[in-house]
Amino acid sequence: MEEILNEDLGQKGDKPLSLEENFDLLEKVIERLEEENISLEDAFGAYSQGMKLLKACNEQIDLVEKKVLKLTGEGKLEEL
Amino acid sequence: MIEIRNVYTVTQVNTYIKNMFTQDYMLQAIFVKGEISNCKYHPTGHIYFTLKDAKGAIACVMFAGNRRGLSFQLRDGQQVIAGGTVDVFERDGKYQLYAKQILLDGTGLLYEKFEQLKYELEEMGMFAQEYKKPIPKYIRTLGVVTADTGAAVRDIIQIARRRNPYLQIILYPALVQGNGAAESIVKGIRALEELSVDVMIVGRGGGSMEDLWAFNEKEVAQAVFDCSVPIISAVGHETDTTIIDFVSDLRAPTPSAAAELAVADVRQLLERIRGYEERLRRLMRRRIQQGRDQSRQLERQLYLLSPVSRIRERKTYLMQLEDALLGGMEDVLRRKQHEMALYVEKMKGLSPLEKLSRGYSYVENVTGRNIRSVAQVVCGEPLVIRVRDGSIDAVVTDVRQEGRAGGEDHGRDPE
Repeated sequence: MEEILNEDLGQKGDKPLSLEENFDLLEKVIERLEEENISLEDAFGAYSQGMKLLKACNEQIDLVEKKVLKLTGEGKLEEL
Repeated sequence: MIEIRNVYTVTQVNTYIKNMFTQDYMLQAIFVKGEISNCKYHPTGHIYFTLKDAKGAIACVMFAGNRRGLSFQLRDGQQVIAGGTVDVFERDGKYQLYAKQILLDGTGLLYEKFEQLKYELEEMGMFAQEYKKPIPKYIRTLGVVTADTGAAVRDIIQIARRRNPYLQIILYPALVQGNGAAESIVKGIRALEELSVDVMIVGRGGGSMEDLWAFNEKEVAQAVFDCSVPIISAVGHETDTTIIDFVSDLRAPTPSAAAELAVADVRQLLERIRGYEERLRRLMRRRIQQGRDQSRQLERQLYLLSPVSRIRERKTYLMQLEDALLGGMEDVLRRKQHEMALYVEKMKGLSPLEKLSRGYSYVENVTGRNIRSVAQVVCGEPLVIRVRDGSIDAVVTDVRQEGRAGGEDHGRDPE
C-alpha cells in the first residue's frame, strides 16, 4: 500500500501516467481493498486513491469528440 | 544392351521426378527473367505462356487464383520477371513454371534495388526486433502520414473515429508517389514526431511497385527507424511489402488494419473504467458496513460493562428479591388462613350449638350456670332452656333424683 500511496498520483515525473499504468494501479488498489483485515483508515485511503485514478483515466480519455486536424506546409494545424 | 532389372510405370517415374522438384528448396520459390511468347488467356481465367531467352524456353502457367500477382496485360514480346514454383505436370511429363507474380522487367530492376536495400538495411540491424517500440494500447493522438485524398486516409479516419471519437487525429498530407514523395513522407514523419503524437500511421493505398516505391527509399526507412514515436506501416494491400514494413514498429496489411491496430475501442475502455468504479464503491461500502457492525458490537459490549448497566442489573435483582419476599409472605398468609379455616371446621364440630341443632337442649339458671345435676335446682326456680332456634323460660316444678349420678354428659366438659 505504502508504495502506491507514496507514488505521486497520476504523475510519473512530469509525464502523466498512461491509461494502462492507471489501470495497473487501480488493480492494486482494488486488491488492497479486497483484503479482509484492511483498517478502515487504509480502506478510505485506498478508496480515495482509486477515485483519483478513475478521474485520471477519464481525463486520459477526455470525453470530447475531436475534429480531424491537418498539418499545413507552414506547420499550422487546421481542421480537415 | 542394358540389363533389365526393374521396370517402372510412366506414372511412377513422373511421380518420382515430381518429388525431386517439390523437395528442391530453390524451385519452390524462384524468380525467372525472360521474354513472353505464346501468351494465351484461357476462358477459365488461367494464362498460359512461354518464357524464353536466347538459348532456351520454359512453359509457364498463371492460374486464375493467382491473377492478383499480375497488374498489367500480358503480351508476347514483353520482358518480365515471373515468380513462382517450378513443378512437374505429370500428365504430359513436362515441367513448368507456376507463376504467382509477374512483373515487367522495369519493375524487375526496382525489385533488385529493393532486395539490395533490404539486404543492406538488414545487415545494419535496422529490422531487428529489439529496436521495435511497443504500440501503446491506448492513445490520445494519432498521426497519419499519407495522401489527403483517396481511400487510405478515408479508411483510416473512418475506422479510427468509429473506434474512438475522442481521439485526436492529425493528418500530414504527404505526396506518396512521384517526384519528391520520399522527402514529403520524411518531412511528415518528422513534423508529427515534433507534435508528439502517440502513434503514427505511415502509408498509402494499393498501387504498382513503382507507385509504392517511395516507401522503399532509404531515407524514408531511415526516418521511420529514427522516429521516437511508434510507427505502424500500412502500404498498399496485404501482398505488397515495402522496406518500411521491415523497419516500422508494426506492419499493418492495409491502412484500415493499421487504424484498427492503432486505435483501441473506447467503449471497452469506458466499460472497464466503469467496472473498476463499481468494484471500488462496492468494496468501500462493504468495509464501511463492516466498521458499523464492529462499532455496534463494541457499543453493546461497552454498554453491558458500564456502571449504569450494572446498577440497573442490581436494581432488577433487588426487585426480583422483593417480589420473591412478598410472594413468600403471601404464601405464608394464605397457608395460615387455610389452616384456620380447617380449625374453624373442626371447632364447628365441637360447638354446643351444633348439638342443639341435632335436638338437644341446653339448660341454665338465671345466673347463666349450666344445670347438670338435680342438686343444682330447687322447686320454683326459673330456668332458661336453650334450643336450636331460641330460648324457653321455664320453672322447676319437681325434682327427682335417679340412681345414676352424673350421666353421659357429665364426662364431657364443655370447652
